[in-house]
Amino acid sequence: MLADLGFYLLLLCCITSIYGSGAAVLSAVWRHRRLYRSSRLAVTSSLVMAGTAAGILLYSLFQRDYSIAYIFKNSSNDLPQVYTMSAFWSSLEGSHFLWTLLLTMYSTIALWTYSKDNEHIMPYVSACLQAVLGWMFYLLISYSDPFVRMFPPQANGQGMNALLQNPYMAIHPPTLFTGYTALAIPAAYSVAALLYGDITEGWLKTTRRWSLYAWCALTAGIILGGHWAYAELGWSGYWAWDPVENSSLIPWIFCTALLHSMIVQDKLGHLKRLSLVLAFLAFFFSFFGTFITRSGVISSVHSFAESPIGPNYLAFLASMLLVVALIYGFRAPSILPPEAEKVWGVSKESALVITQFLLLTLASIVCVGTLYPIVSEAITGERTTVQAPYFNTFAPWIGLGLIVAISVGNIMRYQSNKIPGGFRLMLWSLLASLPMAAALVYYGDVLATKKAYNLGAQLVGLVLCSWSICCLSGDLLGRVKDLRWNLRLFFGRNLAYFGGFVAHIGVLIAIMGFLGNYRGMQKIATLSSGESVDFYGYNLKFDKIEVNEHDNTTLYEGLINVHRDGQDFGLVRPARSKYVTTGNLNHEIGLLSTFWHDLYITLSDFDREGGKKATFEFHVNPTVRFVWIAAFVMVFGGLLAILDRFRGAKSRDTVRIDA
Amino acid sequence: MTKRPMAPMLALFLMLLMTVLTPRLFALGEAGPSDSNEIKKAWPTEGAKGELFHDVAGQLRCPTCTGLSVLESDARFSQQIKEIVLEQVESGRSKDDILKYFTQRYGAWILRSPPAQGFNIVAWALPIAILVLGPPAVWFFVWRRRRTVSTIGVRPTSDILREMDTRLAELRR
Ligand code: HEM
Repeated sequence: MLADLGFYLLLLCCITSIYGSGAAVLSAVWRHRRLYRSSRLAVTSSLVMAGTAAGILLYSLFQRDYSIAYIFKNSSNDLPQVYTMSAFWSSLEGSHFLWTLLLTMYSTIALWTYSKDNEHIMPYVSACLQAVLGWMFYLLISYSDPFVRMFPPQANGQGMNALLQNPYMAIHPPTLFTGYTALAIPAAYSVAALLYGDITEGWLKTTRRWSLYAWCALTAGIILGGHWAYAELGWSGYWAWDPVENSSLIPWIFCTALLHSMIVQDKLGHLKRLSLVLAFLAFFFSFFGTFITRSGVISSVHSFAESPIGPNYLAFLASMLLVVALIYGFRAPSILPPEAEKVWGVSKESALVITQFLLLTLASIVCVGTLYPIVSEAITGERTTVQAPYFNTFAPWIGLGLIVAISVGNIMRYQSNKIPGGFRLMLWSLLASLPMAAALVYYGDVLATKKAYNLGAQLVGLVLCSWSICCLSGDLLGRVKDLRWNLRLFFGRNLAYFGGFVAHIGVLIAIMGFLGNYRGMQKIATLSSGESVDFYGYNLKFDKIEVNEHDNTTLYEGLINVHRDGQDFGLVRPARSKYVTTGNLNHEIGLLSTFWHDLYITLSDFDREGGKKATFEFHVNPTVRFVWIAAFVMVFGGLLAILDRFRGAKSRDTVRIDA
Repeated sequence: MTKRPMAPMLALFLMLLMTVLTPRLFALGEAGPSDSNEIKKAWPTEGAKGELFHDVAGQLRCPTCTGLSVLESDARFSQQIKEIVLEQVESGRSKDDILKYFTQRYGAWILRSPPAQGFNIVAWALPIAILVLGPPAVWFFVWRRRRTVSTIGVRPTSDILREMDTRLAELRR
């Protein structure tokens, strides 16, 4: 019964969204305020109904109502509470539902918290958002219905995919989806500005906040996903450039580009149209990513046609692109040009344009690499593979460009042809960075790298990153000094600048972390009970295989005693887990994590009779922790920047510190 | 038109459909310790042979995963490929020879990045073209160009103000 109620609620949501979208368009054309309010009520009621439907699904999950096919397929009686909840988004229909629910939520929030300065474009915003929602709800009642019933109801479900039974999977998808759906708001504002004919007063302020929010969520979501892969998949890496990961990276890159084009737009009024396009593309690609990962098209063009949801997605995406392109074509010329003079040259805006170029190039390369197998199979009929080696040929060069752009770009000034005190700052930074880089090389044990090329790449990278951090810090100090060390004034007025500073430091820390991949080490050994191996200064002694029963799993743990320099690090327990429902054996990695490197151990095989012999893979993964730390730093920077009250408020009556 | 075996394709498709969150899941799902009592061999990680093995196995894709090389995967198929690679490394064959052996058997698909031949040149030329042609394009379109604006339907504020003033004046009259 409840399931039917859920379904009908979603059906109603579809209807209200279509109504809301239509009403908003008419209200814009007729300038009818009450009609607009009605469209806003429509999305609000969608939120209430979709929320109720989600409540029903969640309730049924906890009730273990296996008469619902989705619940039957994704949970089982022995599933722990947390994963019973996360079963909500553990497969196609549910995650689609979560996506839609979040989109409804953010749409509602956006329509109720608008600023007076944007009043004129709100009907268009509402129309865009609800048009997308209408289609999402349509999918939820057609191809991706989470409430499909099953007859006869079973006593137990098939259980959740074991790899998803990981705490990171409980938070990674909602975080990522938050980013994807929050990107809808800047996109809607962009299309609305085009439809209206100009960018309204409060446009930048609102759009910037939403973009930053989405950016923080995407950053957190992507790295949480990496953390999940690292902890669960057992291949000792966090990023494989696989299509699913790439499709979350592309919107992130676009969002980063958007933030930076909005900075130029704010300071000088240039790059307005670029901001509009980027805001739309960021959201478009978050949709597109969902499409390529869900329609099956990534495995092969041939599986695409077998799924009804694929062509449907494609049709929607294509029409969205077409409609927006048409709107842009007709309306973009009416966006007024900036009043400020263009002084490209050696100015900050030039650096930001170069940043755009680098970011968009990276996005295109990721996109080309992800789509190439599909395209080439469609054209030549031959299957090809594009994986990490391809991306790794290009990404470091872009990274190099970005580091240089971050450091040099940030110490430049707007509308100026020279960097005041620039060479001095760069030189001092170079001096200051050498000891820092030396410390990184020494403690990170960089010189142990075997291949000359890898060593060189790391040395260059570490020196550049340290230099960049020093340049940024020097610039920060310079600004605070100009304010006579009045920190109150500095933080009161410059949160956006400071947030950007923190975010950039985060990027640099992340890059230093990535460099660790150049010096990873591996050893594989088959050990008998009591035997030990030496690896990277560690003494690793295999004790025995221990069998432990957990909630819904049996763990086969290979106990390893770790010593280093006479110090006892205790037991590390790499394991294989066997899930009662599926019978698959999965990796549970053993991890000994320090600041400078992780000792990452997987149990590849063991003798099942006596548990006296086992094969282990030992990895030393340097500076992985840098990447996790960088995530916190970046998100923190983004959140600080959101709190800034001045960015985007053109009429502010304060002296710009940024001359 | 070559005939494709339907069953594996169908299986692959179903897998993908089921794993929304990450298709990579299945990569390792089927992996597991061998049922027999024989324990999986340890691959060499040191010395010239170890390095060559590493290098070659890192260039071959795991046929049943997305995104991983056979080196990183312990799916059954990957194990078999690694065994063949090891055998060939030990018999002294070079990297190119071994990779050629695999491409002849499985097609270029088995390589983790497409060889720059034939149509595949596109995959490599595109990024390079963007990197090389991008900066001049940016220079040309952004730096140099003077924007021309069509002001159809858009009026400067001063015009609107003037119009309002004249209207008001008319009304007052
Ligand atoms: C992947 C690389 C980068 C990331 C993730 C990143 C991130 C950010 C973030 C989150 C902000 C705050 C935005 C805001 O307050 O609206 C910001 C601001 C800024 N970024 Fe970046 N950035 C990156 C690269 C660069 C590069 C290469 C440049 C080179 C010019 C640059 C220049 C700036 C500037 C000038 C600001 C504004 C700071 C201010 O308010 O004065 N960024 N960045």
